[in-house]
Amino acid sequence: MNKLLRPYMAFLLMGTLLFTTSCKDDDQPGPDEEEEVITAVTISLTPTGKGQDAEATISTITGTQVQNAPLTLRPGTEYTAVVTLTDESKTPVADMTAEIRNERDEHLLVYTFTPDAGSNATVNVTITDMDQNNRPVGLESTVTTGAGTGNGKLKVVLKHQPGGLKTGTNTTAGSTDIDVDFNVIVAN
Amino acid sequence: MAVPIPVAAFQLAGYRQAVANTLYLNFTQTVYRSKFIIVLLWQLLLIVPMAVAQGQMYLDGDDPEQDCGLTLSGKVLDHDTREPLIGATIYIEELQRGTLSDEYGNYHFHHLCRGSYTLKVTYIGYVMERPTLRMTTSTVRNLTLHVDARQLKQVVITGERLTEEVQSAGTLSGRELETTRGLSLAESLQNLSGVSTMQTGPTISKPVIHGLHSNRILLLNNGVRHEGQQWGAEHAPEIDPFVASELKVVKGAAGVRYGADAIGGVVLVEPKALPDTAGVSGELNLLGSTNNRQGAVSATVEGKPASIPALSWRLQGTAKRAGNARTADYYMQNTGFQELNFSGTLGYKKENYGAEVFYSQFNTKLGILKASHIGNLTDLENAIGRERPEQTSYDFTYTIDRPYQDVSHHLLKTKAYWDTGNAGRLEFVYGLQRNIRQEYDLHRASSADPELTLDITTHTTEAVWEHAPVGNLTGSAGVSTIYQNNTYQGRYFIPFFRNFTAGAFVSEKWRKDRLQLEGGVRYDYKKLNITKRERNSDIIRPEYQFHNVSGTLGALYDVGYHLTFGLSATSAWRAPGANELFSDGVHHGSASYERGNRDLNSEQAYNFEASVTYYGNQRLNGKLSVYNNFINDYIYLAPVQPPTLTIRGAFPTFEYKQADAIFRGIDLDLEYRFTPQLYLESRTSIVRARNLDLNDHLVGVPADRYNNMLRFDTDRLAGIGTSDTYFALGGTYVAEQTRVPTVAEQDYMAPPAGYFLLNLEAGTTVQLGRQPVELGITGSNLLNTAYRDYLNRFRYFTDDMGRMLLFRVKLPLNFSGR
Repeated sequence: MNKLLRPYMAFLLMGTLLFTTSCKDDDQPGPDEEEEVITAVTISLTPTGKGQDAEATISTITGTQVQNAPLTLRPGTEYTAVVTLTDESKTPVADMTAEIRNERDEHLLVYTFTPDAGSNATVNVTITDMDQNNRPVGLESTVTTGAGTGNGKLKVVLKHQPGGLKTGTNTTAGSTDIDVDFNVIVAN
Repeated sequence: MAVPIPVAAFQLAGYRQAVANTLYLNFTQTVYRSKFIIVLLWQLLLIVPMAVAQGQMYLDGDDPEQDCGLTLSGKVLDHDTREPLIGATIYIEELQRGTLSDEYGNYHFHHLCRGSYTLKVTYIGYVMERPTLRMTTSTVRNLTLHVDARQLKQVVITGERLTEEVQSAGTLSGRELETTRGLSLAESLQNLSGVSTMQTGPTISKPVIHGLHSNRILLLNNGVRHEGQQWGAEHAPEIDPFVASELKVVKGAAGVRYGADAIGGVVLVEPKALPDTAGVSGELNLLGSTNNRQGAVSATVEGKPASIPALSWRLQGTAKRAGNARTADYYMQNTGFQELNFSGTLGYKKENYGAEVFYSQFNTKLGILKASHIGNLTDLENAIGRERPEQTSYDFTYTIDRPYQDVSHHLLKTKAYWDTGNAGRLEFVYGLQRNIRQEYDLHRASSADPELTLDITTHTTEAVWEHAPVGNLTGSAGVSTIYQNNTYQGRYFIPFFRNFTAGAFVSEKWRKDRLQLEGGVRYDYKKLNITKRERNSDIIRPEYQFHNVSGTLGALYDVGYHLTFGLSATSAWRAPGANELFSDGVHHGSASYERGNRDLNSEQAYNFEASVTYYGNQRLNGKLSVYNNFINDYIYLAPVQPPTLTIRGAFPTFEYKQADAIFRGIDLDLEYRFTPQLYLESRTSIVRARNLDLNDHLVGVPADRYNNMLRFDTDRLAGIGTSDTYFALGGTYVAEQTRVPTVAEQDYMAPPAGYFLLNLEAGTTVQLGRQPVELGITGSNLLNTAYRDYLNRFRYFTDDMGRMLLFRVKLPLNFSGR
């Protein structure tokens, strides 16, 4: 039996040898390279006439959507609005807006305002920036509030519409890069 | 002793005449007859010593004292075929008189008195019958005999090398396997009962056994556990089916022999044995298809040098390329694939020992339907609402764009065995595997690098001692180990981990006459070391340990009359995978947020199966198997509240939970022969799965599946020099899955309607000079039906594949120049 086991032991040894040499020291994962590089959306509004500027940021760096403060607007006012996209996971915080602007023929921002129940607020958004094909982009816009007051939500959706999917009017085509709801207060 | 010798001589003389007659008949009648000559000669050999030994063998009319004037006559027939049996022995025990049936199967006894008689009817290869009868008048009585089951079974055993297990299994080999050449491993297996396919678009498919898949199925590639990232539903097995000469599926939990994870079953990919005669030979396969315009070449060269007879070798390679696949109405953008595989084997075989080295490499680039890459739930709802996927092109191309997967798998296997005459056989296998999976996403490709690279290295060892039979007992015992190291680069999906598993088993089989009993037990230990970077960048290193015992018990009883009953109780276990413990992120294509659960326990399956096999019959053969796989602590994704709010909006959130579950079902295989050439093959797979804790259905369970093929095999077609010609026409019907979870919403779309696909197979072998050429065609979905399958993960986005014709040419080559 001993003689019988000898070649087997040799193979076992061979296996153990390969086994141990390959156990390289444990290394640890590097920082996550998240493909989701936009973590925050900021909308900044400047009244075309007199009045107070308004600004709000929604950040998802903590793992869920957090808005820093409600977006407070005056009724019956016209604002010039600019959207800024940032990556807060980088130090310093990286501005991602330029990247979208470079690919503006493949991107479209869609704005939808929904007043809360019992609210008379109305908010209209007109896109003012155009891409190479003279189709709207939406990083810049004119925001107009109606006479009514109340609370509501301004949904901002960034659509990625590559390879000719962008028509400028189709708001469902492509895939969604951003979908956030800003809390808005329209008050005197 | 003086009397019987002339009797025997007389018999011989009479029989020479019968043999001569039969020989003469043989020229004009069927081939069948030649078999009977051999049988006849056998009978002769048997009857001579019988006559000598008994010394009292009487032939008809030799004993006038017994003459009472009655006649008993009739035919001796095969019970199933009704063919006459020539030269069967009919013996009246009370009178000690015997006779043989003639060339038409007729027998007669004359001058019998009234009374009760016991007949003993014997025939080589058949079970002896002892009917009793009461003679009052002259009687005509036909005697039917059953084919001896044990005889048949012995043929099966020598032919298969492996002895039969009680647990149900399905095998694809020979022509059945040939007709699947060009398909992926999972697609090849889906015609076996109890097996279905889970797809992610047309390029990625995984086998599903009894409703279970991914890390609940074990794949054994050339005897080595296939280890990659098999937990992923969209990770296809990295195995080239061209390596295999046999694909076998063991259905149900099978943890004792194969180790952890075999909860749902085992797929065994077995290559052909290395050549055992000197010379060089090979095989060339060429394939081409319509639809995705697939082209494939697979070649094998093998040999054995005459100077070193212990040595043999084989080289094999496959290249495949396909473009966009087409549904009934449109091409699916970015669904092409490429594959380049090769393997080499070197064997050294002496009488009592031997060794083998095998290396294989599998490389594939798999395009993923562009429209499946969505941003959020709104996008998914839009996609579901669309008639056809949203694409920028509906045309054909071979180009593969983002998103795609690039996967390579290496396997190095070394095997050594030692055969001792009295102690048994000792075998040692070491396997080294490396699996590199690169995933290229669609979103914002800023560099040419993949967004995710998973790299896993696995070492497996196994030592098995198959002991020499002790009485009626055969069996084996063994130990095995697995060591794994997993790393990644890019976006997070699963953590780094190292895993060590060790197991030991004993499995025994006892066989006597018609009864076979088997039993086995296994112990496994698994240690899992995780290294994970948390969201706050802290490194954590949790350690998990699992211990488990698995067992198996089975009984197989052959009741005779071509009927075998089997009962088995098997078990298997599985430790939670790194993804189930630690995944955390959005799952693209399913618009869901998946969260791991760090407190999961291992799951344990107890599979009970009862089967009836009706075999060896001329017309109807089949097998019915009923199973009940109870899974304790089944790990599944359960919807949880609230949805996760990301920058892309709200995602329905799922977390891994555990519940007791049951998978039960029926597999039915039937074959009915109308003529020896024309037969119907029918396969039915039905599975039901429930979450016992919630008393609800489970999601993603295969719908009822029926497969029926009418086959016609003929050796040669009149007038043309062809052989091995076959035609088959039939279809697959897959019912609508109506059993879906109702307690909590788990799906975004109701299961699609049932569908029927018409399929065809045909092939023949032609002789071009001395070169045989095997030609084949396999057609699927001939009616170009537009359908969606419940188990296709892309059913939200697109229809399944339309009509496809696959053409095959196979050239067996012989370079030995004979």
